[in-house]
Amino acid sequence: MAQAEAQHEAHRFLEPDFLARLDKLRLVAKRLSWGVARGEHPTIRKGYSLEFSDFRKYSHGDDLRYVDWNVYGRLERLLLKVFTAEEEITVYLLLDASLSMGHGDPAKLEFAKNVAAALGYIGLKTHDRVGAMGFAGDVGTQLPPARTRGQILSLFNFLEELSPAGRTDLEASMKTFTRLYPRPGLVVLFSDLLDVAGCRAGLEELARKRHDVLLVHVLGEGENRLDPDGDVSLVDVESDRERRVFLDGDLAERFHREVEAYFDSTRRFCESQAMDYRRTTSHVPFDDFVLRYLTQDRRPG
Amino acid sequence: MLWLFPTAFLILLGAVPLILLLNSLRPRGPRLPVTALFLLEKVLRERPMGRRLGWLWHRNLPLILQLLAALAIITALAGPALLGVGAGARDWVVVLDQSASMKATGASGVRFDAAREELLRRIDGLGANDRMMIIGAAAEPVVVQPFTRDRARLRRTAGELDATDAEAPVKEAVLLAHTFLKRQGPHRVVVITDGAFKGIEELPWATSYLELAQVEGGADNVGILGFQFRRVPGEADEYEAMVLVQNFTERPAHAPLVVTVADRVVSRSLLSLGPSAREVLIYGVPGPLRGRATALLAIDDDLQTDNRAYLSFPDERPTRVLYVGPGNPYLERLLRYFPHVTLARIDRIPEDRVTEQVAAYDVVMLDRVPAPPVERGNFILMGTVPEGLDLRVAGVTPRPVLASAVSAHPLAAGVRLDGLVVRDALTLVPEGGVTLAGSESGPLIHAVEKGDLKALVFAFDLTRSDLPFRVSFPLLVRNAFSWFRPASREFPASQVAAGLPFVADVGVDEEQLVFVSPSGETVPVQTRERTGTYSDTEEVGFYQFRGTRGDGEFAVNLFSEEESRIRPSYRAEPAEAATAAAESAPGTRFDLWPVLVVLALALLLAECVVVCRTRRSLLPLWLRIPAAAVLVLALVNPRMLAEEPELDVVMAVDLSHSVGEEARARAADVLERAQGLVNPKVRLGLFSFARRPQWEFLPTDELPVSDLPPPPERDATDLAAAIQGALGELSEGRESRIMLISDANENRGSVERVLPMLRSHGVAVWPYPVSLAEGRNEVYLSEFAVPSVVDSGETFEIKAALTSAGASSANVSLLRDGRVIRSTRRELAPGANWLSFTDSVEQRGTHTYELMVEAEAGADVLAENNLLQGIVSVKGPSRILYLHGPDAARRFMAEALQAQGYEVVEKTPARANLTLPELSGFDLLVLDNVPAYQLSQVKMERIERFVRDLGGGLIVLGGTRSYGAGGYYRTPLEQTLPVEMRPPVRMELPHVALLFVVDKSGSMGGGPFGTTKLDLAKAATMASAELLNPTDEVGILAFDSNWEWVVPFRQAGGGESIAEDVARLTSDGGTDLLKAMVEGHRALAAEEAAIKHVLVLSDGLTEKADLVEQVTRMARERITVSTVSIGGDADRRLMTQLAQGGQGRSYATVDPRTIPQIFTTETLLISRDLLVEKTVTPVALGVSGPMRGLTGQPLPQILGYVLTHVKPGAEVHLRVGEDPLLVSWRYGLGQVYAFTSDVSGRWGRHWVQWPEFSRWAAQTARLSVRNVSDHRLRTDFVREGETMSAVVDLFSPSGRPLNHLKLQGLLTRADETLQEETFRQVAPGRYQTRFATPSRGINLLTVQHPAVVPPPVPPVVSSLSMGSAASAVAFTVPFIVPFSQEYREMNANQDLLERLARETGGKVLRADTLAEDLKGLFTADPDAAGSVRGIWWALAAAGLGVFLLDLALRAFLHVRRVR
Repeated sequence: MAQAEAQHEAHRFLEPDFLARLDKLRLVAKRLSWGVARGEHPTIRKGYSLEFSDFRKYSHGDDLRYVDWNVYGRLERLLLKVFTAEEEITVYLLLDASLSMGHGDPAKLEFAKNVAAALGYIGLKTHDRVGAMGFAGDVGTQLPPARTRGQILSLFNFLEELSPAGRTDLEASMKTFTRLYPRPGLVVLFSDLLDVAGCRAGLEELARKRHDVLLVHVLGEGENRLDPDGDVSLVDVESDRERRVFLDGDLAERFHREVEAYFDSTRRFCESQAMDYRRTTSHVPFDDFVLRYLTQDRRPG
Repeated sequence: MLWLFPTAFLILLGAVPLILLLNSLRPRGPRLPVTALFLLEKVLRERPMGRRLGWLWHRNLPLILQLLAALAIITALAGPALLGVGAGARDWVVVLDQSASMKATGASGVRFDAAREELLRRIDGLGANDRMMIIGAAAEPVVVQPFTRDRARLRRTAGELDATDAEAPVKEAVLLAHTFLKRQGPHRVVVITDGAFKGIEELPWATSYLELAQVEGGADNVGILGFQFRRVPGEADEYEAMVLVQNFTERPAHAPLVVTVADRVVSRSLLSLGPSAREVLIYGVPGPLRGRATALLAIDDDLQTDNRAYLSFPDERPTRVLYVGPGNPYLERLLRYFPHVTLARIDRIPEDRVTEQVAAYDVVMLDRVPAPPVERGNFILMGTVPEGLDLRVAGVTPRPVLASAVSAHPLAAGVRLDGLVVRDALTLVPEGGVTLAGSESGPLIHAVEKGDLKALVFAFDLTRSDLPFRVSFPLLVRNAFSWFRPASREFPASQVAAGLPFVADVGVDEEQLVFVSPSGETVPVQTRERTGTYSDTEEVGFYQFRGTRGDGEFAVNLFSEEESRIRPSYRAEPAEAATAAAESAPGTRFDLWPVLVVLALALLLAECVVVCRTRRSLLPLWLRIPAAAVLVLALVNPRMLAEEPELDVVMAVDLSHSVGEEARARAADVLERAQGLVNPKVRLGLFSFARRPQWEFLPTDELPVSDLPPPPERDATDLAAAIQGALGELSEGRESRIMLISDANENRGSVERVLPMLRSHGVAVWPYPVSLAEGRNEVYLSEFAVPSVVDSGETFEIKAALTSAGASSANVSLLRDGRVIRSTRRELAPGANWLSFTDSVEQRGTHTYELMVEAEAGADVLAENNLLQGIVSVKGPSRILYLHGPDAARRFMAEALQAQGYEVVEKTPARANLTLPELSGFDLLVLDNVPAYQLSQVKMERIERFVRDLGGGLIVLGGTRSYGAGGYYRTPLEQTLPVEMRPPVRMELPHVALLFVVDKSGSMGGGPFGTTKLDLAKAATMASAELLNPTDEVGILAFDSNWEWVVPFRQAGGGESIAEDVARLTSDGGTDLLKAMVEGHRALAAEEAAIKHVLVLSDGLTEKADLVEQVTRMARERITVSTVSIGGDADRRLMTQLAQGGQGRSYATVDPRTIPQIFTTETLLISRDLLVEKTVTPVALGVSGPMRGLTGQPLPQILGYVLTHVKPGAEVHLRVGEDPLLVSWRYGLGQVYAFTSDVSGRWGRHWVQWPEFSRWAAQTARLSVRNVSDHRLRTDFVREGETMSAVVDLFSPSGRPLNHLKLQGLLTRADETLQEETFRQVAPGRYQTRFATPSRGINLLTVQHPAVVPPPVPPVVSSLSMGSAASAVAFTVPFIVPFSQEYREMNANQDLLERLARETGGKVLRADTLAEDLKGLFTADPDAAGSVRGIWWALAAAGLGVFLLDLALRAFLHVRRVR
């Protein structure tokens, strides 16, 4: 099914509609600055060019260096010049391409692809280096980070061809990734985090290697719960393991609570590691997700 | 639903594996891809144990619910009543007393209202499954409500019931109720009564199955118990009225009593009755009596019903007379003067209209016209003789001269015909009848009575004689009219007791009478056999009836002492109630199916909900809706859908004696055929009945094997009880039929009473006639009438009816006192054949007549009904039975008594049977030197009873074989006598050595156990040993072929050890007397007693050699030998020789029971100086009694006497020395005289030669002879089913009724048991008592008027509270109870059976078309209402089916869905 969908949407990323949505995102991103936690990681940010982007009112404590004194001369108003830092960062788009990602409606992987495409596009437009990798049991196909003009097309092709296969092993995959790309950057990790071994080790690995992590936790709609339906045969999509259970309300509820607890623990882990954790379902339009991500205040507190 | 077992049940149980299979077929749900299975597995792993189990339950919940639902339906279908769960179903049979006493009113209201409330209370208290039946105890017990659970119906029935005015046999009702009780279980009969009924104490109230619910209210009552008018005999128009009033309270009562006749007060008096007093009030009332009479007791007591008594005097129907002839002015003129005679006249009578005319007229006079043959009716024939009379015309006699005339015939009463002049007369040759006046050539006036035919024949033309001018002519005609229609004018008023049927006589052509009760209810009654019977007389007052030929009226009164005594004779004790309350847990039938179906329905719905919650697809559940709907429908249990009506057939089999085995055979046949006909829709129940019904099995479709044990008391047939028995077990909602296998000859109860119930319940009776005769001919005696009292020498007529089913012939023998006096052969026509005999008896006393019928071979089935007896008492002088020894030379006493005018019958004891009826014909019994052993024990007992109970006199004259010497010791005779035989013990030196030589050979062991010769010999030796002085020596030597000392010589004082030793004797071996005698000789020779005696008891069948020599030898040594030869085969000659040789006495007896007497006699004889033989002069004590007027002169000497001793209470008239000579006392009702000397040449030589001897004899006889009442009396015995009533009419010698007598009756039944009866005056001069019908045979009723002073009565009699004094005894009347009614009619009462079938809608089954008829019987009437039945089970089964279909479909859909 996932295969067929991929075929069908072969050049999805090149469709004008998609591209238009990407452009729109880029414009937003342009205005808002993309960059993850600017000023948070100054040491790793090297801004060569300050590109003016806007004015804003001065407020107490602002660096007087950035006051536009010309304006003050003319208007006697303290306006602060707002610059967009032109930072060159590497954005790694890591997509969980395990079989479980092929599920959901639409498939979680497709959602991840769309978001990855959007972020990659934005990144490239803002002159960041963007690379992409699919992983399941280990890192699979890779698109090395680059800031070339053709990189966007390469990304699109890469994403296009990415299809779900294999079982998730987050830890192994992350270790391979950090070994291959030791340079810290922004890691956008698309996964459903449904790893039998848990996702903690993999995420720790990223944190250890000083990667800035955006965890996009993709779930299918209603994937976190099961409807009580009496006798069912539950088949694991990754291992084909089948389990016959009598699914009653109680069991479903407990399952739901277990799933939530698992996700919750992951989220809290991410917070403790100062990772950005975003949970979404696959049926959310990717552009909404991206937009919300880009516009919302990401810093809690 | 037993029918579902077991196969269907097992098949249904197959649904369980089916459900399991369907459940397993279903895959474990859809394959659901999940991504987080590991998490789920974690959840599962972490689940606690309890939750796991709950999950298992939850997971399998639908399956569990499905299985439970299926099981519930299957169990419901399996007839869960078997489970015995639920409230206990009890059967309550409520007997509701509806007797008159229930109308008593107390402070708390009317008793019956309280009873009804009690009943309603009990109806309300019924358990859900309890059934109740209500039996109303009115005049007859009737099941007013068969078993039902319907409380509304029960309540309705209770509301409809009311107390009647009748006496109710509540005890009978209780017994009937018990026939409806199942044997096991907590079922119970509840009797709601006031406790004032007869026999209440006899009922087993203490048992758990009988409960007494007593209602209270009122206790004080004064009531009228009798009201009757009687014409004073001999007076034309003078009547006496009697009112019997009793005060039932404990205090004096005062009330005015008013008697009115036709609204005219004939008496008004103020009554004063003492506590519990009863008063007979007699009023003289001049006639004529017309209209109604009432007696009104104006008292405000607790029971009003008995304060009024009613009588109705019907107008006499005129006698309709038809005169056929040329006209007879004398006759016509005479008849005009006769009251109540209507005369019609025609010239000639056509032959074809004779029957018609005879039916329409009471008397037909044929005057000189050719007479058609006649068969029945009343005729006065003048100068003409029809065929059919036993008269032949043999020409004409001119100028016949009267030669003879009879005056004893009722026709001839007062008629004098001497000098009768007749010009010419027909010469008649009579073959029967009575010639009232005859000439030498034949009868001139002749009376013929033949069955229904009565004719007075004048052989001449009245106008050609001077008879019409004579005074005797009107007398003769009037006599003839009263002879034709003997109207009972003595009691002019007609009345019946409440509850008893009234029988109205009607003309032959009346078919219907309409009765109107006092409350205005109109009941038409079909007449049958010239009578109309109205049985619903449960209300007191006047009843009227109308027929085509006129109206009538009769009165109904309570007149029941039982009912008027409203104070309860019995009270339930609280302890009994407590026992009654202790109940066992019920284990009975309860239909569980509705509960189970509801359960199944609930389970299905629950499963539905569960499935709905866990399934997305609801499609299969749509099928659940029809399943549930079908089950709901099953719960409603629709009835109208039943396709075929259902039927219960109850087979009632008459097993009374009159059908017996025939009915059983038929029933077995029908049962066999019915096997194939019964099914759950058509069930068969079976019970047998005779007097009462007895269930064999209740209606069922699985016929159990039954051999029909006969019900108890087969001597009666009570169809009504049987039908009620069947009605009691009616199943509601099923058509019911009763198959009645019976001859329908009911002799108890009446089907009439249950017919309305049959109709109202729509129960059809299908009779299957059966009879013992079974189409064969049966001849039986239906009537046998003899006059009860005749004069000595009077010629009387004996009439009998022989009923034969078909034409036959029979030998008829008439026996008088056991001897055949007539014997004829009769051709028998079908129906009743009347026979008539004439006889006359000279001897006073009672004579038994017996009529025996021997039908020709094959013409008779039952022998029981071929003999009838009658008793004729012949009036005359006192009769004396004189028993004397066979060897008595002259009977001086007998001669003396004969000379005094007594009729003396002399007999030897052996020839006299001494039965009580025979004895009752005598007034005095004289025993002249009769030894006890010549009388059997039975005879002596009868003598005792003759004296004690019948009041006969007894004189015992002594002699050498009387008193102690005659073996009177310890006999009933000694008990009767005023002297006893055993003298006081005298302590003396031993002077007697008595040796019993007892034969114990095998021939002595014969006879029934306990009474073998040996047993009696043992008893005799023991009794004899007792008689000896303690110091006397006694020994017992037993012998067979050898000898054995049973008791070596020892002192007689050790009686007990002797008894033990004797008891060891057993009979065995041969007989050798000689050896024993030699041994006895040896032993006795060693004894030093003055008297040595040997008593040999043997049958003498022994070696004869040297025996006589041996005893002769012994005699020489002063050892005497007496012998007792026993048995009919004994060698008496040898035994006599032995006694002679041994100088002893020889006794011979056939009856071993006399051995003790012989032994004791011997013992007394040898041990005592019993016979005192010396010349002494008697001394008279007192001057009255037998010695009155004889004491002034010296009494003659006597030469000896038997030693006796006076008993306390006896009166000694003559004494010799210290010993009594003439002693008397009263024993029971009779007087006994004992004369201890003889009246013969031996001791009484001087006594019999004494000039005053015959005076003395006469005085003694007169004092002892039974008192014969000089009253005129008439007794009548009426059998009323189970009871008999004896009616005694007593008139003074002048003809006035004797009133105010307190008559006592002593009934001696045929089995010689005694019963005391109290007579109650029921009319002027009339007394009545009722008693249970004694068994078949001759019974004696001694009626006496007790005097005030109780005489000294021997202990044995004192238990009878019979006062008796000199003037007490009135008379003894024998009466005969013939064979049971059961044997009277042997052919089926086809009429009744057909009527039953017709009136209830059944059909008479016929043996030749039995198979088809049975098919009809076992096929329910499709139109019959109430033949529907619930079909819940079919619906429930359908529900199960739909449910299974639902499951299958679900499984199928799942399989498909997954694939």
